[in-house]
Amino acid sequence: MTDLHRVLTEATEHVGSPDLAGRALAGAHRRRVRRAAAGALAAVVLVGGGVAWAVQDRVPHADVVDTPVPTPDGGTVDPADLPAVPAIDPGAVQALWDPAGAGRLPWVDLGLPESLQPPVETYDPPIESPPLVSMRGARAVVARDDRLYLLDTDGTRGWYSLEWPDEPLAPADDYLALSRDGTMLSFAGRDGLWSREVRSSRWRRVDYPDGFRAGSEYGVSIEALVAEMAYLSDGEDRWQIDVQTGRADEISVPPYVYDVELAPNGVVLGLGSAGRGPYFVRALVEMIGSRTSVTRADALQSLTGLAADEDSLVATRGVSTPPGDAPDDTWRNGLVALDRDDWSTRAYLPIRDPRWAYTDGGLLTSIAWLDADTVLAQVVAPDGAYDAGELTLFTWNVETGELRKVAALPAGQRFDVAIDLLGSLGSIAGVVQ
Amino acid sequence: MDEQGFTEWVTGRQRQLLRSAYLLTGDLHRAEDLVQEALTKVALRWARLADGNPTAYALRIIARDNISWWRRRRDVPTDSFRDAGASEEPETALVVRRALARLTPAQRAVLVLRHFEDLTERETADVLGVSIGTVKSQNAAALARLRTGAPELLSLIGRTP
Repeated sequence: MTDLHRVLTEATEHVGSPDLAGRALAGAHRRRVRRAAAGALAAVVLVGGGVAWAVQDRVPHADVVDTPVPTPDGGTVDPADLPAVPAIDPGAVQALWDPAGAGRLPWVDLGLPESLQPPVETYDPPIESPPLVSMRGARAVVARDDRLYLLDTDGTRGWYSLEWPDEPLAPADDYLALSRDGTMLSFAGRDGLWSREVRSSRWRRVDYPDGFRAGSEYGVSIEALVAEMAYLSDGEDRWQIDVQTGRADEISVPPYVYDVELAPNGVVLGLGSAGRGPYFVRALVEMIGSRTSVTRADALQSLTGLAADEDSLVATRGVSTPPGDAPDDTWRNGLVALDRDDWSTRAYLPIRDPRWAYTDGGLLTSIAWLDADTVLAQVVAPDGAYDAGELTLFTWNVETGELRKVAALPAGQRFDVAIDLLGSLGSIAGVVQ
Repeated sequence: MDEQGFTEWVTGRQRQLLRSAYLLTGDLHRAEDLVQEALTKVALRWARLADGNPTAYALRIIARDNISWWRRRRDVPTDSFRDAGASEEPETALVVRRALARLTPAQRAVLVLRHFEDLTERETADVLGVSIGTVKSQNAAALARLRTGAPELLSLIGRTP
């Protein structure tokens, strides 16, 4: 990890070197005196008085330096020549939201129970039991202890369990995936990709493709499972693998693209950064077949966690201005929904994020678009709790700003939901209070 | 007390300690507070530490105080905190700070000690007062979380300096 060491070193080069010795000696003497003569604080002797406190020089933040952006054909383009994403439209900014209250959002029935927790004491029978093999799919899967728990699709909302294959997991955060239609289940093992039809009684395993770094320090993740096609990342490269045949194709993206989203219509969307030195250009990249378009996205600052449909894109946005200095809510962290035609802001949901944990800490992320106006997202709250908090699945209507709780479960528990089986908000709007 | 010996040691180590503390906290002011407190404690024990490993002792204080600070902070209304993330910091520092913010304080401590201070697993375990197995698992979890959640950091790592 010498590269990580190099980046950590580079990131701290602006940290100065004030004279701390004198102050430490003074502090030590003060404490000795306190110990020796409790209550005699007035007699504190400052040894090394006149300590020089060198105010460190911080490196001023320069404007982003325009550096050539590499293109897929090996050439470069001047960033100044790229089309640019417009800045957040103040008119699209919605009411400030505090994600700490996500668990108290009104619940909406999209087919998931408010608590996405399989029963603790009375486990339902294993799915392999003869009466249950007719189960066609699952609305959700939750990994707990040594078993997987599936929420059925037949309307009874019962939980059924099954065993993992006998292979260690890959070192990964996102090792488990349920297909969008709820019929297929996959997990990333140490040596191969396992999958099964939910109603099947056996797991299948295909080897990882040649060149796939299963032991990558950054772990393996299943980024999507669509029908029988799994999209895997080994931390550096992405692959499309047919879980039935094992056929694997590497998904080619420009080398500067670091975050990829596969839109339902086959379009690959990515976030990229390019340039040398401490500054670089942020870019939104759209790949349709062999055509790649690059749009400069500096105006949006830091984006992560893309989710796209045919017309829109949603991402978590982080800004570099400390919240207390935000001149208005466009300078707060939040969720941004963009129109893919011109990347204009459809809506911006600013959030209270005083520690930057929801955005930079990865606690607030989009999952998918449920319909043209509704985003499914998740948040772990309270911020700073990480695996000790509660994860809330919620919907964000980008037109109205309405937020609804879909389900919740303890943070740190691996799960996935069948996106296509979640009911449309529009179809049940009449029962939402 | 051998103030000259202490001062020479601090002079040689303070910037590195401050850089580590900055990586742990993401906040220069709090990093300075942590290092200052650690150096004060080292000064109080200098007679015993001088011939040993005062740097490891200082790192232990910094890492543990930071974790304690995080635990205390959970109980305080978030309004009373304002991230002092410097808007003046270079882009690389901003990306790294944001990436490390994705980690728990314990994961961050392991990552900084292993990959910035270049300590071995055993040295890291000794500094933090945990088992080597814990260091291994925290390190793996930290790297996995960075992989999935901090793509901009990966972009920096993969870039030719």
